[in-house]
Parts: sequence; C-alpha cells; structure tokens
Amino acid sequence: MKYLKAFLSVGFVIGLVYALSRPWGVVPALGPFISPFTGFWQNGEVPFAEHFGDRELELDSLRDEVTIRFDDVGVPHIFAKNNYDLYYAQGYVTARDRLWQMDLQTRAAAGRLSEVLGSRTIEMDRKARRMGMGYGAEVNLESTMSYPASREALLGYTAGINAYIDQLSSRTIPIEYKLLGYKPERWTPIKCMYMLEQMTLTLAGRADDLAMTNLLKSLGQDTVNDLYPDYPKLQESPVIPVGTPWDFIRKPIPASIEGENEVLADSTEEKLSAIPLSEPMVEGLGSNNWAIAAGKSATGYPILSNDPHLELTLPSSWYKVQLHSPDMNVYGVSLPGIPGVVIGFNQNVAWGVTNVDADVLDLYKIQFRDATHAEYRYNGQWRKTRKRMEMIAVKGSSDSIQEAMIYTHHGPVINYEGEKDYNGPNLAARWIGHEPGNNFRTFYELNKARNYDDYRQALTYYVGPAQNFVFADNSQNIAITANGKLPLKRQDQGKFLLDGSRPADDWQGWIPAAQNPAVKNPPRGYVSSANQHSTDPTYPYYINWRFAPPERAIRINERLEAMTQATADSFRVLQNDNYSIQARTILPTLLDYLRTTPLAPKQKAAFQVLESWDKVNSAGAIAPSIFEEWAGALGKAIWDDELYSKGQAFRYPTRDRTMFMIINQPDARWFDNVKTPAKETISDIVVQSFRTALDSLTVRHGPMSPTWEWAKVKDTEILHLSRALKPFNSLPIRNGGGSSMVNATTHHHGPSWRMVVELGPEPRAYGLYPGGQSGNPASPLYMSMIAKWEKGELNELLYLKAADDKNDRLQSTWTLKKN
Amino acid sequence: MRPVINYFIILAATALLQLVLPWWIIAVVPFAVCMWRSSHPDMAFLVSLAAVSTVWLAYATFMHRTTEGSMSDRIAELFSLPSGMALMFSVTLLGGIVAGFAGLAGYYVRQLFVREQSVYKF
Repeated sequence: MKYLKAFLSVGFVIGLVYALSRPWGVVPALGPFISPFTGFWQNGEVPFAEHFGDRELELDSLRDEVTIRFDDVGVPHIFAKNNYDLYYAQGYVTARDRLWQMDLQTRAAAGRLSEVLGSRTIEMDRKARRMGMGYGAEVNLESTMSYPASREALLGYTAGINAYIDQLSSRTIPIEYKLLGYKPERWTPIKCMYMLEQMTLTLAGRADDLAMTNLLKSLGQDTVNDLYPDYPKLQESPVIPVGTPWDFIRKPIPASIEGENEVLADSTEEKLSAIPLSEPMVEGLGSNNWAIAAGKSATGYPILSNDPHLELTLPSSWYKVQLHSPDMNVYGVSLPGIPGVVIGFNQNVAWGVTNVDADVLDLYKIQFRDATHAEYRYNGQWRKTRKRMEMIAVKGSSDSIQEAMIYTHHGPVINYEGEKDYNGPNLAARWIGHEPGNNFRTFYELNKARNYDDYRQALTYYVGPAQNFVFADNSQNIAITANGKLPLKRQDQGKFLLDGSRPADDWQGWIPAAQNPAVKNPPRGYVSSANQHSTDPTYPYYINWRFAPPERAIRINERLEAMTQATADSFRVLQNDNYSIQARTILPTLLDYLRTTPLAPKQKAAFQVLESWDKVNSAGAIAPSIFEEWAGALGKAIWDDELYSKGQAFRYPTRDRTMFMIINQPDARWFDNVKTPAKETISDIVVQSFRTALDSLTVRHGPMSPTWEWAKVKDTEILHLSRALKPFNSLPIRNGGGSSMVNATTHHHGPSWRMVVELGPEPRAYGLYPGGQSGNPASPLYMSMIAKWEKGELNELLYLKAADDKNDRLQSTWTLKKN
Repeated sequence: MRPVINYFIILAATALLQLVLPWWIIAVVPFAVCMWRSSHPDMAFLVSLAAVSTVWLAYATFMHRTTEGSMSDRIAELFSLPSGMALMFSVTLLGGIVAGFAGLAGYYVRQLFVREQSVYKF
C-alpha cells in the first residue's frame, strides 16, 4: 500500500509538471508562462523606465563609441563615427523594440512559419516557397553583399540585432515568444533580403492574368477591350502631367502577335479557378505623395508630403529613426529588418514613395513533357527545368516536408494542373522579386543625397517593387519618377495568361532606366502620385493596363492646383482630406433616378440624407455609409449576373469604367439582369441596388440612426500582427476617410505613416504613424501616436545636428562602447 | 514547530532557486524538503502550497504593481479573467497546488524509509 501511495503520488506530480510544461493547442506551456519569475509578468513595463533612463552598454564587435539619444516619443537619434557602427546601433535598438515583428515577417517571407506555429501554416509556407521567395532573397543577397557600402550596412545591422538577441534570456524575451512557445534565433543578412521580398510581394505580388483570361474566354476580345480598357474612359490625372514630352530615343517595342490571346483562351477548356490563398488586390494598399515648388509655398522652399497606405498593424510597419555619421544625417522611417531610412529627409533633400503598380508578375502556361516535370515545351523543343529542394520543418512533427520546386527560365512553377483547390494549367511566375539587385543602395544613396543629381543616381540602383519616388531639395527642385526595373513588353503583354512555350511571350528586356516616366520642375509647380496611371497613353511603353482608381489623384491635384502660400499645415489638412470625388462624379446621376421613382418613407429619408450631403466622408456623417454601400451594391447588380461565377478567377471592370457607363451609356445591355425574365433598365438597377444597400445596412446596424455613422460602419481597427491576441489590438478608431479618399482609411488599411517636410536652410518636418515605437504591448509607447493620428494631427520631428544638442524633448542617452 | 520551519525552508529555497532555475523547481523543493523532514501528509501538502503561494503571490503582486498591470491586465483578458488581480490569484493557486502535491509525494516517499527505520529500531 505505501509503495502504491508513493508511486502514485510521485507519478501524479510528474504528470502535472509535464502537463504544465508543454503547450496545449493554442495555450502556451502554462508553468513557465505564469511563473512570476519567467512568465508574462516579466514583460510588463514600468511606465517610461524602459525607454527613458541613461545607460551605458558594452557590446561586442562595435568599432567605436556610439551615442543614442531618445526623444519623448521613443525615437532613437543615433550618432556614430562610422557607418558600420551606425547600422549596428540601428539594428540593436530596432531589435530592442521590434524583435518579434522582424522575426515573424521574415519567417512568413521565407516560408518558415510552420517551424514555430505548427501544421496550420503549412500551406502558407508552401506558397512562399513556390513563389521563390528564397530564390529571390538569395540572388539579392549576393548582389547586395558585392557592394562594399551595402555589405557593411548588412553586416553591421546584423551584428547589432544579434548583440541584442544574445543578451536575452527566457525571462526577458518578448511576450509573443512566450505565448507561442519558441525562442528568438540569431539574425542573418539574408533576413534583410526576406523583408524586401515580403514588401515586393505585398506591393507587386498579385496578378489578374487568370481572371482576365476567364473574361476573355466568356466575353471575347472586343468586349474585354471595351469593359477593361487600358486607360480610364471617364477621368484620370496621371502621375506625369499630360503634355510632358518624352524626349528620348525609344527602344523598339516588341510587336504584337495576331490572335495572341485567343490561342490561350481557347486552349484551356474549363474556366480557371483563382490561385489558392491568393488575396485580391485591396484598395487601400496604395499611397499618396506630392511636393510643391517654392512658388506655391509660404516658406520660399519646396514642401514635400508622403503617406504610404498599408495594412495597419501593431506593432506598426514603420520605425522612426535618425541616423547620423560622417556620411549622412538622415531622419525618417525604416522598415524593421532593413537598415537605413526608406522615407525621410536630410539637411538638403526630402523624398517619399508610393507604389507604381507596374505589371511585374506575369503567369505563363507551362506544358511539361511528362509527370517528372524534368522538361517543358519552349520554342518547339523540350527544355530542361531546374529543381530546387525546399524543406519545411513543422513544429510538433518529427518529419519535415521535402518538396522539389520546379524552375523554368521564366521562373518557378507556382501551381500544377490537377492539384487540390486549383483548376487550371501548370503556371510559372515571371516576377520582379526574382531579379537580382541592390534596393538597399538606393535608400542608402538617398539617405546621404545632396541634390537632384544624387537622387537620379540613387534611383538607378533600384529594382522593385517599382515606386513613384517624389523628391524635393534646397536648390528649389521638385521631381517625381516612376522608378524600378520595368520589363519591356508589347501592349497588354501579361494582361492575360501568357504562353510559356512561345519566345515572343518572354519579357523582352527592360525599359531603359533613364526613360522611366519622370518629370522635374513641371510648369504647374507641383508633382504628385496616388498610384494612378503613371502617364497618359502617349508614353511609348506598356507598364500596366490598370492602376489604382484616379479619385485620390484628382482630388490631390485639384487641391495643389489651388494652393498658394502653402505651409506644412496645408499639407497636413490635405493628407486628412475626406472629400469623395467618386460621389461628386456619380451621385447626382444616381439621385436623379431616385427622384423619378416613388420611394417608401425610409428610402425617402435616406435619399434626403444623400441629397443634403457635402460629399465629405466625415466620421459622424451617415451619408457616406449609404453611398459606399450603395455604390458597392450597384456594381454587383450591374456585373455579377453576366460576369461572375463562383470559384473562378474574376475581377470587376474598374470603377471608372462602371461610372462611365452609368453616365454616358445608360442604355448599355449590361444593366439588364439576365438572371430574370424581365428586362431591367438602368433606372431599375439603380433603385433596386439602393433598396438592397439600405436593407443590408439595416440588417447590420439596425434602422437608420447614429449607428449608421460612417466611422462605425467603416469600423477601422488596428490589429496586433498575430491577428489573434485581442488585448494587444487598438481600441476602435473613430475617423473619416475611405478607399477613394486622400485619407485612405478603411477597415484594416490606411495611412501607415504621414510625413510633411518643409525644406529650407533648416528642414522642419512633421510626422507620425498609427502605433508607437515600442512593440511591447505593455509599453506606454506601444500605441502612443494613435490618438493624434486619429485626429489628423502630426508631431514635429526632432532633427538633431549633433549628439550633444540640447532640447527639452530629449529624454535619455545611451552610450554604446566596444567591449 | 516543524511545519513552520518547513514553510520557511521551502519559501526561501524556492524564492532563491527560481531566480536561476526553471519554474518546475517549485515542485522539486517541496518534494525534497517533505521527504527529508515532514511528519504528516496534510501538513506536507498545506505547508508546501502555502510556501510557494506566498512566494508567487508576493512577486506577482510586486510585478503587477510596479508595471501598473500593463501586461498582467492584458493577459487576464486573454484568459477571459476579469482583471490582473484575478489572474494573480489563479496563478498563485495553480503554483501552490503543484507544490502541495509535490510536498505530499515527498511525504509518501519518506514513509517508505521511515517504516523500515522503525522496524529496525524495535
């Protein structure tokens, strides 16, 4: 009996300890997690103690002493005596504030999430591997490491991150590691490349090729040309002002092939499904930037603005930093995981970026010789493929998944005929993310640029994702360049699926960098971009057939046109502009149809709200909720019956094309709902969709009342990167805006950084992002800038000249000494 | 008197050893102490529970207070508990129970030897 008691009780305790030492599903191993000595308790932050206290650190592999001064929003101002130390310190403080974010994002890019999250992320990882993210990162690492300045930056940055990681213990690692039950691993330079690949994927990793091929198949070339034109039919205000001369010697443009697209459309019998796990292009992944010349400003110098729109997350996409070395003194935002400043300013220049949205991802139909995938058809012959082994380790499983990725000369095969959840041919991806280059060098050169020539030179190193680089300097220059390596193609090449066996469908080289769309000091006195068409149709090369809808650009350009004596505050107001060009364009026409229709009392009330609306998507207005819902319902009512079928790759005609038809082609056959025996007119569809919109708002938000306020319907929220830890999310955001407004705030996307720079003898700059410098949810600096962002305010950015500058906003000093 | 001394031995040893060793030392210490010098199963359980609970409650309270609940309140929400305080008591209880059962196991293992000793004596 006593043996049994002893045996059972010891067994029970061992079982209990074991059960508390391992994770159960999403619940972390409770023992270490709840222990006050090692668990989450240790991640609480004493308000302001972590960020604000002088410190002296002795660190390995530093070359000289570095001084870091922290200001009141937690921005590190780094003063180093050489660039290696500069990036070392940047790596160290970025890791201090954002380690888990950097880890997660590079893991996602590398297809290594399953290693720490288990089997639920295998498909995501497989997709990253198939997309060739690793291949792209490797070729980019090679070219980046071969240039001394970028090599030094990558090595310094890596050493700094590792110096931080090395002094962590299981007690001090960030809370997310404790919750997910894994430990930080050492940083390597290729992880910086993975961050760049991830950005390229976000901004230039989607293709409409399958959707357009389906449409071509069902509608025919003429109708597709009509409904999916290569340039807006109603209105546009391109990045490069209309009339800008193209004074360069054009490269010959590849000739079109007769019936090129029909061949493919016919050869694939069934309709193609969308690529599994591919997300459609969201409106809200775009950006604004602009600059005005001295003639329009009150300061006598140019002023520049930039607000990149991304998914809004906590921690934020951006991290503010000032970098000072004998080479440079630059301030701006960096992407955690990449050394240097991506958007910012220095003593002499300021610059910003928006996405060009060039078509730099094309899909090719591949015909393999047999099931071994060893050879594929090309130019009438069989060509060998290359194999690249990828291994996905899975947490909680002893076997890792081994898969051979097949590479053609176009690029990797991303989908195979006959595989699960996919109906279509073998697809190879030709993608700018696989092109070797040194994007870092562009930012490095911009960080220390002194003038326009430096800016133009810096841009030549950039590969992709192509960006509209806006620029202003102290010598009164303003400029904008749609910049990146842009493939030389025939018109519409890659609008549809391409034939991987036909040499004429290959990319035919590149548009010469000097011929990328650009303008310097245009007579109108301002430059701007909002992801719209780079140029009007007179530009000799094909970049893409569709860009972001033109409304933001039109509004920005109208406002800039009218601006005189502008200041930074005029720009701040424009960044927060909620005026709806879309409503101005289409609402009067739509309301006319309602006016001639008898309406029920509730509809009448909604009609009156719209009629008296100032067309501003402000937070407290009800009209924008009705209009946005209605516009969406109307688009579906017009197109779904003819064009849409479930499970197939599909895209709607552009908003511009739809509005053009409503205004100028009221008798178009597309208004009739072919699923009903009756013959509907435009008036029927407009009225029906109005009722549908009101009904669905009522279902979601109750009868019309303050619950229909735009801020509540839009429901902007900023989620923690895990998307699963609710207590780490922001509180609900109350602001205006919308996808077609300059203030492009939507449910989960929006201005991820707002910056305004007044150039001059002393630059004055303002900016913030909806988050905070610290990535620790317990830090007072975790979301300290959200409240001001929500109100549309900006912080002045503290630009220091020297390490011993005096300023009331400076809180603490760190001295980094070599060990 | 013996239980009180045991309480302080466990308290001091777990407090110190947890600074360097993993969390499961809160089971090892009560087990060892009770195997060494406990005389009653109920006391072994209660003393171990009380000693580790004291340490955890004190340190958790200190961490919770000095950080103004900045992390503990959020984790409480994650575990659907009303507040960081509620979390603190739940955590303390759980740590205490682990220690209590370990102490009890220590007592039963001690009994294996104690009887043999008595037989030998008489």
